[in-house]
Amino acid sequence: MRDSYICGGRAIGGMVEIMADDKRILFSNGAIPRLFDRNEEPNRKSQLTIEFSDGSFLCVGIQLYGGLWCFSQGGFDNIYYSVAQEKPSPLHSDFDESYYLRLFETEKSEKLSLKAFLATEQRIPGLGNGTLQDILWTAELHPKAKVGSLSSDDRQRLLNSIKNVLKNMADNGGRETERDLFGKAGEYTTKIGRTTYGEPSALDEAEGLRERIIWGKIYFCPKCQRI
Amino acid sequence: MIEIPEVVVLADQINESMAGKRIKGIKIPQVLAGSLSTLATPTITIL
Repeated sequence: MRDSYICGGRAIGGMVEIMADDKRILFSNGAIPRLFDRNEEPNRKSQLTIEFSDGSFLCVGIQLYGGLWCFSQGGFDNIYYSVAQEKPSPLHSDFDESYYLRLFETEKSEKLSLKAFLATEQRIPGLGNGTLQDILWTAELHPKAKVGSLSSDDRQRLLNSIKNVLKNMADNGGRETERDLFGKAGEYTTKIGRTTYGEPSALDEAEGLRERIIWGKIYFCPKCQRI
Repeated sequence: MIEIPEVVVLADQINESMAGKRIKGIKIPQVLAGSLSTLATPTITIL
């Protein structure tokens, strides 16, 4: 990769891809890239450090677990990478009502909890346990509610919430729990989650609750998120 | 964990702040380099 030039970056589901001539650098999950200016001290404990000819550095640290790959264009056979490129982002106009409703037609989806439906099997690449809490809270739907129990109004409210909440998060530089390329925390304040656990809900002042299901925890308001 | 919103932000910032930079070198921790060297087909080239 030496002497390759960075052409740009792109979002692919929950992955960030950097194009460098015909080479690709890919990050996912807890792999967090951070750009350091030539006058800054780069993070010496990072799992990957790329030095540029202008004296700047890109360092990638790993939080808990993360994916970090380098490969030639077209030379990466990975199911998550492939699926993420095939499916539209909820932030894109291709993720419309028609596409969204087709997600409900997959086998056994009716028996799934909403958490499992939204955040497993790569139905919506890049939508995980972090963002789904606010999506379901905004839609006033419980994470354990079964997909088959949703009315058409519930489904429409969920679609609106998916698109609006994710856009709001992106427009605000991401969630306050995550950091950008320069180490700055996002300005989107999560409505329900680890940071609000045990505090009154902004909607009805009921105390937020927490349970553990599937992988990770769920946070919800017992009053406004029904099962 | 980064998800859709953070990925979009990072990609935009990479486009704005990194395009045109030339890679001079890549470093990975020695312990990681050691484990990679034992693989039959390393998935990363250490420069």
